[in-house]
Amino acid sequence: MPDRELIQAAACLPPQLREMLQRWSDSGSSVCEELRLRAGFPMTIVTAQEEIPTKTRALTVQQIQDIVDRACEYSAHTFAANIAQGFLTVPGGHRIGICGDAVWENGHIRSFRSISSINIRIARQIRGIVPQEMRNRICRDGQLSNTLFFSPPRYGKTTLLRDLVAQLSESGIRVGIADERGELAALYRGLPQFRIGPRSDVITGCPKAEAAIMLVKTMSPDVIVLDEITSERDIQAALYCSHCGVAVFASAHASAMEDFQIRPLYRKIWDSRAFSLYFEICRDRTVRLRKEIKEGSLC
Amino acid sequence: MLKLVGIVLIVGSFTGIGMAQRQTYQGRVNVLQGLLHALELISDEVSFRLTSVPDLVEMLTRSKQPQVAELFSRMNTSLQEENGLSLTYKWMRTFQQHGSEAGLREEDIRILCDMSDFIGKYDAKSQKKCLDYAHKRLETQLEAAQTDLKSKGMVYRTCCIAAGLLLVFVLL
Repeated sequence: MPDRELIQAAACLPPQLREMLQRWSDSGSSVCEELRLRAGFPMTIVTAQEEIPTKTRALTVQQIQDIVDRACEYSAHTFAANIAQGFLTVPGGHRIGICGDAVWENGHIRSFRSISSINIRIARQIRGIVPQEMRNRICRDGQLSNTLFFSPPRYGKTTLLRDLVAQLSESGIRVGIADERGELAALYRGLPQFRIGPRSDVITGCPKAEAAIMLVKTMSPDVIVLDEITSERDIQAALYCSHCGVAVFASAHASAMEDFQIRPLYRKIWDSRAFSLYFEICRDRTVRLRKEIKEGSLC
Repeated sequence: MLKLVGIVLIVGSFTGIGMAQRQTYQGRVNVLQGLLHALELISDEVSFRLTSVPDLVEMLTRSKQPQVAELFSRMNTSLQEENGLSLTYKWMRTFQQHGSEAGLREEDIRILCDMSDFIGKYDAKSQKKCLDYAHKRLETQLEAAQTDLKSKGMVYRTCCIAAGLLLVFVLL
């Protein structure tokens, strides 16, 4: 069966690479998680187990630049803010990470003078991965608990959050999604590319903290979703939401509970006791409850 | 009776030639006006909503000026073809291949092709500056086209009617 997500993510690639990926998809090979393109080397396909070099020609810097131009629909102005953060999200919610010679101005990256490598991460919707037991813990007697999911990158935090959002939204709970990078709902021309349920409202393309506050003020959600807490402002927004009586679901990068607790940024979350449930996502995509703080919720 | 019909036919056809010639000048004025409105829309969309170029082109296919709508419809079709060609190439090719059909002159087409050097390539602020410059250049072309319409358009129409009448007198 053709890998629809892979073909969709590869739409910005040159025809010969697209054809190669089509053959890969048709052959039923392992599931591709990422495509890595580096100047001077052939494209590689990343699966859960390994990074496999393809038998294609080495890529040039110009070819990589052309791929990025196509990915941003030849509209640098539209994607300038994202490119300045080193990524852009294409239709389908697939994220393209960008590396190269950055233009640094006033304490920020403004753009890239040249792009040396990109990483296309294939976004996939996997339905029904949130176990009933976990759902019951999060939503007990109609009360939602502030919940945080953590794992190293590529373990499926966003996929799990997406499924949780869809399930809750379908069960009648209003969900506000602060989708800064456009990965969770992947809005494209106003329509979510993933199933996120009929009662979900999304703000994409602006910092999570601002989006979360805007959602609380304007959409009166039951729960706010913040994918990948990465800054002090995100933590402040999570605290603000929970003080307003809105539950918060968030995700963070950490290899283990101990790792989470010792990181200076996450330490603040821990000390604030804003979250009452801490779930760890393991490599095999299983989810384990690592901590439950009974009196921790600020709601 | 036959003479009268002949006179009407001769004067009518010469007037028609004159009017058609005038219409080409009028057509260029209309297209340039439509393109100036299109540039204003592009400038506003780029600076306010950061609209992407394919979306802008799609928007302009609904222009009220039929020739402008036709030009951008062709560009829209070309943009949807997945042949690996760049926007720069497709933008230039559209105006070069179909600009004259729309009533544009070579110098007008050159200004529109020059836009491919910046459209979609820089941030909104820089593009707005370039769009303003292209707008000024097209405005100059429009002024020239309006002058042509007033002077040459009138001359063609008057001369053709006069030539028709002269031919009638000669034949009589």
